[in-house]
Amino acid sequence: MTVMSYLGAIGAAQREAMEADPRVIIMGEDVEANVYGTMGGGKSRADKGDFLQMFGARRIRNTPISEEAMVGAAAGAAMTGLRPIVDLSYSSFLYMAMDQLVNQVAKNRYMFGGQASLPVVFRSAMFFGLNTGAHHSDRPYPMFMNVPGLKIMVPATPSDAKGLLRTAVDMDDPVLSFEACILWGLKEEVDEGEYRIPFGVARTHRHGNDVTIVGISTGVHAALQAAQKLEAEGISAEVIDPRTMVPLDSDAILNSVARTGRLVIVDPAHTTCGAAAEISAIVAEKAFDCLRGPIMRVTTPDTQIPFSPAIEKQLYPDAAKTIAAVKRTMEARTRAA
Amino acid sequence: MTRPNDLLLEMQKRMLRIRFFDERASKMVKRGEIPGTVHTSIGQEAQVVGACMALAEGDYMTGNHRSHGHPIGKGAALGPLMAELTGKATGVCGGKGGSMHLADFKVGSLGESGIVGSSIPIATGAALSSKVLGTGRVSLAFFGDGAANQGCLYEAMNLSSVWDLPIVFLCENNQYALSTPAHTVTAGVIAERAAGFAMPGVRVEDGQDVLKVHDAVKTAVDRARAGQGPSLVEVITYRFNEHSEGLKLGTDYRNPAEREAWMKRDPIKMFRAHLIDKGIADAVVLDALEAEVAAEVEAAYQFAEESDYPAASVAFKDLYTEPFGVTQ
Amino acid sequence: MARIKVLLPQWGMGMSEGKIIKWHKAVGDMVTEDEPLADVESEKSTDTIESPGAGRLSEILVPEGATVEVRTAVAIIVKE
Repeated sequence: MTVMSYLGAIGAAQREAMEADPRVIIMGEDVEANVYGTMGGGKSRADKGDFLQMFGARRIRNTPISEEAMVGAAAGAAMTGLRPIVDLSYSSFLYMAMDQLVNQVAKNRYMFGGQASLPVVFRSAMFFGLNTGAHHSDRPYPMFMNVPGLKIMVPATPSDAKGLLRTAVDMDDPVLSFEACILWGLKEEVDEGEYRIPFGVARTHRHGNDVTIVGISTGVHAALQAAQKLEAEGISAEVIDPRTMVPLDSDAILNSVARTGRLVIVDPAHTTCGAAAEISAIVAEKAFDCLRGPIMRVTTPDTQIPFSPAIEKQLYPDAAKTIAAVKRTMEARTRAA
Repeated sequence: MTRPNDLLLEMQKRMLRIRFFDERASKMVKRGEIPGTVHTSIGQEAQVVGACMALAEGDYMTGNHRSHGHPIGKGAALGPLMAELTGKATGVCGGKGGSMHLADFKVGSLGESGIVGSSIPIATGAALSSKVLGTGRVSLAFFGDGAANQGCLYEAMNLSSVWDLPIVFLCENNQYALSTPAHTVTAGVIAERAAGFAMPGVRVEDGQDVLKVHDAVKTAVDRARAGQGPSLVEVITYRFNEHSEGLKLGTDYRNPAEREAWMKRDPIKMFRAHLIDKGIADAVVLDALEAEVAAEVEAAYQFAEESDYPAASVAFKDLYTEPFGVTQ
Repeated sequence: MARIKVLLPQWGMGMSEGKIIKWHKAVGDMVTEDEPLADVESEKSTDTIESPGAGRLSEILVPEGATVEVRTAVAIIVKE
């Protein structure tokens, strides 16, 4: 076990995957110089291993700024023997490659009757909360949840990032990984040996009896902070991180709500058609009888992200909003039986 | 280039296969036997076969909605293709793809895309894996004059050039994108765009001549295989039928005299005359070849006819290698 | 005796149904392959169903004025 940052954990997983299988390659803008810190163990090229030196230019490739070609080429390469990891830098840039992601990556195995498999991983960072403005702050995972054929991971901790990414590379299905930039520096004790976290298995960070709080990405940390404060007020909150949105461990959420009767979902994506909306629908459909109060969503409102530091942060879910949501669902009364 | 006789006869055979297959498919659409529509390659056989046969068996290829000719040109069996058109379980894609999404990985056909231009990056990726893994395979991307204005083509050309990928970009310029004449929406000459990406660009003016197409594409394929990088080949051809079977725009956008003039340049008739003229085969052999292919297509039709539709559960299969939820 | 179903074709990707405007042949008539059988009106065009084979038109399943979905059997031809 060693202390690793979120970014370092991603680097460690990539290094493991590159060492384990010569078919794994990393391609993306600026990957050779380790600009984002995921292409080596440490902060600079020389520090703790430089992927370009370790693996060579055949397998570590800087790409031109050509998201459509990058994504499509990675898909075509995956269909013909390689296992690419594509670094798309900022999640907001995925849209440049929407056709390739939706019409090729998600569909080729299906349309061609199983002749293809696409063992490819597309990583990108969500820069919300860091004063980068509307073009760099998107949290697009809900859009892709609506596209059958893709798998989606949204790690909230270093240990989750490492184990999930390793699974993603080993998997023969295409994976989109959404990594919140604001978590890059988060540190945790992480097993530096090989381990894999399966997709579709949630992590319960904290057990509780009064309310289930599902957190996604930064929402996990807001939920944990809220849970701590709520405990002092005598409210016992269970905090669950699904970790993968597709496949989603809905059983874990349903089993928890069956005990607590209350659900709050903390999701930094926008309110309308966000991941929180999907989870709400699942629980309303399948655990209606267990619910003792309304399902509450704590999400980023349906407005675009402003640049000014004075007004950006207020938009995102935080502990205070989560606590307010918990209290709202706890005080509401259900219909008389 | 000297080509052995059996190669030349195989070229004629594959062109005949495309012609008879597409004529049959056209009839089937007219009779409601094929759901949706088909986009035939009738008239473009030389362009398709000349290109496909410049590739080796293990080479890769992607294409577009005008799809049937591509896998046929690369040697795919006709029965599963026909069955795919009718949505049967024995179709090459299990009935899940249909006419516009044929793929036969056994012959290196990595998939025809219903989105114009969308498969070009896929072919680029196949070239990338060839390069990284050192397999020596070449990749060929078929696309039309319409797709020649899609941004992803230029991204792929740039990337292929920068990375020296073993790929041939082949523009099937049949001069119309549905009802839009290519020259009204295309700046300059498509082949000349290659120079902007530091790769050779060749325009085959007579795409009805299978040997001229073969020459140009073989040069590009050999270049790629020798590690010299990508090329763009633009082939001028013409589709004799409508954009898609069932569409009746006809003279709204194409001059009947123009169409007639191009139909006089039937690639199959022209090549037949060439083979006889050069003493490579006589009329008896070529008639027998036609009869053989006609029987092949008829057998493919019967195979499709007699095959069953897939079970309802098949709609939930092949989405993931590790399924979950409804696709389990 | 082989029975051939005459189906309403789908002319164009967007066509979902068609209305039989006029039958050119009657039950009992002999028909040849590709011979015009019936005029059909759809959302975007008027077109003609041609016979898929040669034989006797033994049944008309969809009368003039009726609208049916594409690929519906509209008549039967019996190959004698």
